[in-house]
Amino acid sequence: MDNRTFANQFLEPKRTGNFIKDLNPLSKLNIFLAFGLSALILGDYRYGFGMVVFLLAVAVLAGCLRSYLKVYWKILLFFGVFLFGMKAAFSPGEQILWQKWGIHISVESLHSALVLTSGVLAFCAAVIMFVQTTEWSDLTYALEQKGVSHVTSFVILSAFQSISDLGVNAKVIMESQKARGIETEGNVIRRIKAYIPVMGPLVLNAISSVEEKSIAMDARAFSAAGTHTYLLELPKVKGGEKALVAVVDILLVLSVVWRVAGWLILN
Amino acid sequence: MAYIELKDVDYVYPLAKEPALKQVTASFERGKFYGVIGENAGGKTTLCNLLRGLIPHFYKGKLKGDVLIDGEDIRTLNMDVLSTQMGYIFQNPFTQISGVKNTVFEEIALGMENLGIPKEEMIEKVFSIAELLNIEHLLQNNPNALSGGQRQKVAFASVIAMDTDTFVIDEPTSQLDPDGTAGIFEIIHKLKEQGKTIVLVEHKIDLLAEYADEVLVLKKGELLAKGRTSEVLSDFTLTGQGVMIPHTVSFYQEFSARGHVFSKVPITKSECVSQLAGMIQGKKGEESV
Repeated sequence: MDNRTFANQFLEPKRTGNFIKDLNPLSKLNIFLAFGLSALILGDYRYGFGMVVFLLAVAVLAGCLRSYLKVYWKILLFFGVFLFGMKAAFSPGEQILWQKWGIHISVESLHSALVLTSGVLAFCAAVIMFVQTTEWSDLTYALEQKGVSHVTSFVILSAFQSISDLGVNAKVIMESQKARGIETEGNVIRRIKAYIPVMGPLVLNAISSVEEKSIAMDARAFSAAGTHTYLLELPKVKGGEKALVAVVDILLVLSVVWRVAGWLILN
Repeated sequence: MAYIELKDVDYVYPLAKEPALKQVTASFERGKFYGVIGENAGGKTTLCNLLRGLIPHFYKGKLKGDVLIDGEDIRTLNMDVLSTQMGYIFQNPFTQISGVKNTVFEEIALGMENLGIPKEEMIEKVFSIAELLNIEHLLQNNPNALSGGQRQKVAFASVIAMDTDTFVIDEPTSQLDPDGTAGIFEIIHKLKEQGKTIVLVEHKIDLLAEYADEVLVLKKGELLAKGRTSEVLSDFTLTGQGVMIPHTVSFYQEFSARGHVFSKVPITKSECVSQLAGMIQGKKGEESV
C-alpha cells in the first residue's frame, strides 16, 4: 500500500471489516467478560466447556484462531491439567473411585474438578479472546472517549508495552551474558541460575528507561493543556451493538439470579 | 533582549556531591544556532535539561542562580507551556519512541495530537517532515522494530513536527551514518533559516563549524568559552582543554607551520577553499612575473 492510501485510512474511523474486531473495545470487554464470568457463576461444566468451544468458533469468525490457540494451549495445559489434577485428587468425596498415597479420586471430586477447570478455562478463553481481537491503543482511545484521563490511558498502554520491552531487554542481557561465557542453556536449574544475574540489570534498565520515556513524552507535549486530537479514531457505537451488549448483560444478571435462587432453594 | 539567560547557575543532581554546572552565565538570542561542545561529563546534557526546564521540574537537585526564559524564571514556568515552546531531542534513540504507536506515521503525529492539531493538517505535516528526513519508506513500519539510527530520525521527526520556537538537541547523530548526520545538519540549518532557536550538543565539530552561529565550551561543569564560532574554534588555548578543532583549522596549523600565511583562520570548508584558491592564484601570479 502506498503511503497516501495508508494515510487516507486515518481520515475514516478505523475498521477492519471483521464484525467482531470492529466492535467497540469497551463493548468487547463487556461481552467477553460477561461470557467468562457466566461460566464461573453458573458452575456447570457443560456450560463451561461449551463456552470454550463457542469461543473457539468466535476465534475462527474473528480470523485469529492461530494466534488465539498459540496463547490458549499454554493456559489449557497449565490451568486445565494442573487444576483438574489437583482438584480431582484432593477434593473430598464419598464415592471413591481410586485412592493411593493420600490421593482420593471420587465422583464428587471429579465433578468439582470439571466445574472448576471448565469455569477457569472459559474465563481465560474469554480474556484471551478480548486481547486477541483488541488493540490496546483502541481500548485506551475508547476509555478516553468515556472520560478517562490521558495520563491513565497512557499508563495502561505503556505498562503493556513495558512487558514486551522487558522480554526484549532480557533477551539482550542473556545474549551478552552468553557472550561472556556464562552458561544460559541446558536444564531448568541451569536456566534459572542464568536468569538470576540478569534480574539486576534488567530492573535497573527498566527504571532508567521509565525516566527517559517520561522525558520523551514530555517532549511530545504529552501534558499540554487543551483538547487533544486523534489521528486514529474508532467508529461510533451503533444501536445494534448497544443492544447486543445489553442482551449479554441481562443474560449475565439472569445467570447470577439463577445461581443465587438455586443456592437458596438447596439451602 | 536575550531569549534565554543563565546567571551564575550552579546545579547539583539529587544524591550527587559534585555540581554538574558551576557558575554558568550565558545568554541565548532568538533565531540563533548555538553549538555546545566539550569533554564527556562536562555538563552538556545538564545544560540541555536546564534549558528545557527538566531541571528543576523533573530533576529536583539543587539549583542556584537564575534561569530566565523570555524573562520568566524557569522555576515558575509550567512544564506544559515549556513543552509547547521548546522541542527536546535527546541522546538515547531507544527511549525516545513512545512505544504506544503501531506505525512511524502515528509516532510522528503523537506530539501534534497532544497539541490538538486537526487531523488533515497532521497528515500533511507528517508527509512533509518524512520527506525532509527521508524516512517516507519507514512511515508504515512499527517504530519499535526500527534500528537505532532510524529511531533517532523518527524521534527527530516527531519533535520537529510540533513546530516549536526552540529546539534543544542533545547529540542527535550519535547513531547515524555520515549521510544521515549530514541530513540532520541540513534540517537543523533549515530550521534556523525558519527563525528557530537551536541549541545543539554535538561532537562533530566540522559540522558545527559549518552551521553554528555561536559555540559554548563546557568542561567539568564550567563554561570555558562562549562566542562566535569562528572565534571559539580558532582559539588555540582551548585545544589543550579537550576542545576538538575542525579539520580546516588543523590544515591551517599545518600550513602555517610550513610558512604559508592565511589571512585568517579558516573555520568552514568554503573559507578554507577560498583562501587556498587565493594563495594558489598569488603563487601563479608570482611565477608569471
